[in-house]
Amino acid sequence: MKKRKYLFLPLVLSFLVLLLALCIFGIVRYFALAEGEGFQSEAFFRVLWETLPALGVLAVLGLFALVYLALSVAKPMKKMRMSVEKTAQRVTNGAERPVPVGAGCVGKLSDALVAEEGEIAALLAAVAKESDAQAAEREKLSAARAVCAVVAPDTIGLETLTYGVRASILRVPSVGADFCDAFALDGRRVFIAVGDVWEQGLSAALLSARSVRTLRENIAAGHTPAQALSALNRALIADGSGGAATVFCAIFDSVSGELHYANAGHLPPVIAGEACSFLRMRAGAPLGFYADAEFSDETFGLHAGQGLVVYTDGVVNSSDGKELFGYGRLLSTVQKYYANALETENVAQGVLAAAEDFAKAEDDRAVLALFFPAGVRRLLSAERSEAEKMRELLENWLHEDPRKKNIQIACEEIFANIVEHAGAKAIQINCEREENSFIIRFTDDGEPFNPLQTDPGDPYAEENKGLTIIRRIAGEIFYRTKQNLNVLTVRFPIIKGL
Amino acid sequence: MDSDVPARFRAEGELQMEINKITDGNAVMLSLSGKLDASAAVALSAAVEEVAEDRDLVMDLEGLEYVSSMGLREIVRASLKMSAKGSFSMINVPAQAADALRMTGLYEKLNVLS
Repeated sequence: MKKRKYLFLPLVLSFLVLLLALCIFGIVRYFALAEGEGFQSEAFFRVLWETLPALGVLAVLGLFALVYLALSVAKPMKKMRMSVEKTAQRVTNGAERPVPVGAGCVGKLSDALVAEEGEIAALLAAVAKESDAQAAEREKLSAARAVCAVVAPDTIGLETLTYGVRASILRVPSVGADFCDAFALDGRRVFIAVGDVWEQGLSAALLSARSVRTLRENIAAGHTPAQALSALNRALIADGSGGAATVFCAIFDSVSGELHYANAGHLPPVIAGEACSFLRMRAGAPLGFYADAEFSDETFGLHAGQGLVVYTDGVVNSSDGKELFGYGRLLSTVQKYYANALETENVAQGVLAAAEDFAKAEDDRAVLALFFPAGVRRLLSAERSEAEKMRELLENWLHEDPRKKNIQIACEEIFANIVEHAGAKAIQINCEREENSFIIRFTDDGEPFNPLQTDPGDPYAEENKGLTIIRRIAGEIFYRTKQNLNVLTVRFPIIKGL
Repeated sequence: MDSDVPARFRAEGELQMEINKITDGNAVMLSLSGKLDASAAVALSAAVEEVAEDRDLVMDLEGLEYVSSMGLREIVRASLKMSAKGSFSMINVPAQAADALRMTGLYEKLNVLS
């Protein structure tokens, strides 16, 4: 079609120029040949005979122009008329339409438009009505999301020196209202809950709100997780609205490592660590159905370095049309994040990303990860300004140790060396206390680099003071690479009497 | 055997499910096949709604490929509705649905016949 457009102008111009030239030639030639006054037919026919080839060319050019007009104007107009008639036919469910009577393409199109005027208006009204219904649906959803955003935020980040909780929820329109909750009960205990509400829209959001509030109130009042679930179950049944939910909730003690938990029909959480497995627990029953449902308090001892990953069915039931994401993929994804020390804290986001890579979400997906690091742990960006956070960490952790100042200086120098020379993006500091030692471990994702093997230079110079101190007071310094990460471990013997 | 002509419901949406209903005397059997997700749950709810409370309802899940939590909710609601005056039971529960029922603690409560 584009080529035809570019051909049309030269075609018309050639036609006009040739026509003009032919007329001038004919007039001049006629007067040259004509002898005497009046119409000289012999001269006229001779001129006609001489211009015959040029007339032929003109005719061909004219024919091309006509074909072009037919293709570019008449045909689309006919198509448009048929489309208008067809649309109106659909609106009136196949009823007979009056046949257009106008002459030519433009006339027929005009007739078609006039004849279908009512139906087109009805169609437009129907589209507008549909838009109104969609707008109303959107409003409902946004109301539901507004409630969710207040009572069940899409992300949770709770960090202390001895534990951490991170949660993320991926919400999809119109379906359920999964919720995650976490709050510190005191300096050492944290309450976590994950729920899958068996409702939709605004009622689901309100049920989420109610569940979170009831659980919090019961736990804050000193009830156990099972007692809190029983209270919520009674409340939902008494309510009579038919709302139901599965909930896993637990109180974690970050000093003893004990996880006190109870389950109401929720999927088994993953115990995450070097080896991952599912937490064994009694199923209980979904809340809101059975007044006689029993919920049990159970206990599991987490080891330092382990964690707990709680999720909703939107994760494992993700379907790519052939199979489900399933429990195997869930375990291997959690395992992958726990195999890389710098990635562990991204496990909640990582599980959501893996499920999304597998299949687009058709149900809410929620993942909550509880971390119980060995000792204290902090993940820092590899920037000089982050050294301040490490200083604070050591300040709190080393308490009254007389070597605190020296250990801080030494660690700051190791940190600076990693930032300067390793090209790392992230550095994780782990501080553990074993029987007779403080252990500080630096893990970074830079090039293989031992921060203690920089040019020693003058050991008494101010900039080398930290490494000199470390070599003097550290009981053991050990560097290795593990899964493309640099791991530097420094052990300081605990001085007797501390 | 005086059985009705099977009534067929088809759920809207991308994942679809079919429900065949057979009435034999006082007993009604709903055979579910396909995927019982949130939109299919609406169709199941409508089918159960048509069954009188004093009947014996049997759900045949042989053709069920997948059941979501919204689907489980409709099954529980059906059992609660029927168990007051009539009865509710399930047969041919496939592995995925049985796992979902066990993990939610519903397997024992829903009268699964095997």
